[in-house]
Amino acid sequence: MPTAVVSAVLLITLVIAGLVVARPGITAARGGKILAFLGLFIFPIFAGLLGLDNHIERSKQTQFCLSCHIMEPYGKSLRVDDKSYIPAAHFQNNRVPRDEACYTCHTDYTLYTGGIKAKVRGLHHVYAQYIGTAHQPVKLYQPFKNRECLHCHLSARTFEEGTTHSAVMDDIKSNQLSCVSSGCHDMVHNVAQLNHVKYWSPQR
Amino acid sequence: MTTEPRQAMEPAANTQPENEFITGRLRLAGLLIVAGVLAQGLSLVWHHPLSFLAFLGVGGSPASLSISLPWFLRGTLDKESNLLLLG
Repeated sequence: MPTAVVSAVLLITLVIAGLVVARPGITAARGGKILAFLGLFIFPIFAGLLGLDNHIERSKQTQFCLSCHIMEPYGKSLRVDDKSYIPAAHFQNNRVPRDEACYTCHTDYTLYTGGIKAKVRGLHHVYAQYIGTAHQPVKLYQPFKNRECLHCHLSARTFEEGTTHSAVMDDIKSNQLSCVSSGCHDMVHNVAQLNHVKYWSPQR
Repeated sequence: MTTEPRQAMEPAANTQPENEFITGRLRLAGLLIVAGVLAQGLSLVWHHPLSFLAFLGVGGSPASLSISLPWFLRGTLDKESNLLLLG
């Protein structure tokens, strides 16, 4: 839901609730009762649900993931000028939506596929960011699953018909052979080497 | 067949709010909604890792409290009261 729509609902709620605060006597009339019921009950719930949806959708954004200091190197790695860097190659060539780059390949970190557990982890990340101590470098909670690659690449012609992949397709699909295994696509974020690489600057 | 006066059917239809307790609670509920909605609105334009927590904690708590306030009021209200909101 666009922020403008949510803001409009919040504004309507604000106006009606403000009216009840300023003139509670209006609830003496039937119309006033209905207005108060809308302003103190229906609209606040509606606005709250829309706001919740807006925040959850926003948590998919690359900007949101990179808003924690510890994630900055991972954002930087998306601009490495080296096509062997898998995240950078995907980001720079629009193989993933740039504004949802992290979410596209790490779906298990979100409510949609990670469930409530993912959100509890998110709260732990906030705690670690502001109160506790974050692990350096950050690590995935579980090994990277091929599903994150296959939800786009599976059934793609170049992937299915390529001799390299077709020879081990069953192992890839069953997650027996990881896409990011050594010798395959093992150059991922590689943040330890970011001081020794060139960076891509998009032309305006 | 006799027709009862409208006043007898709706005894409080034209009275002004007299119950200060209820009026005060309505004001409180409204103020909590205003505070909660303002906090929720600000959290939407605040791009920060804590904005979601601000939305839930600072915005959601007063709004939830005020939404539930009329339900708590139900038990305390006079059934004849004209300010009864949800009964």
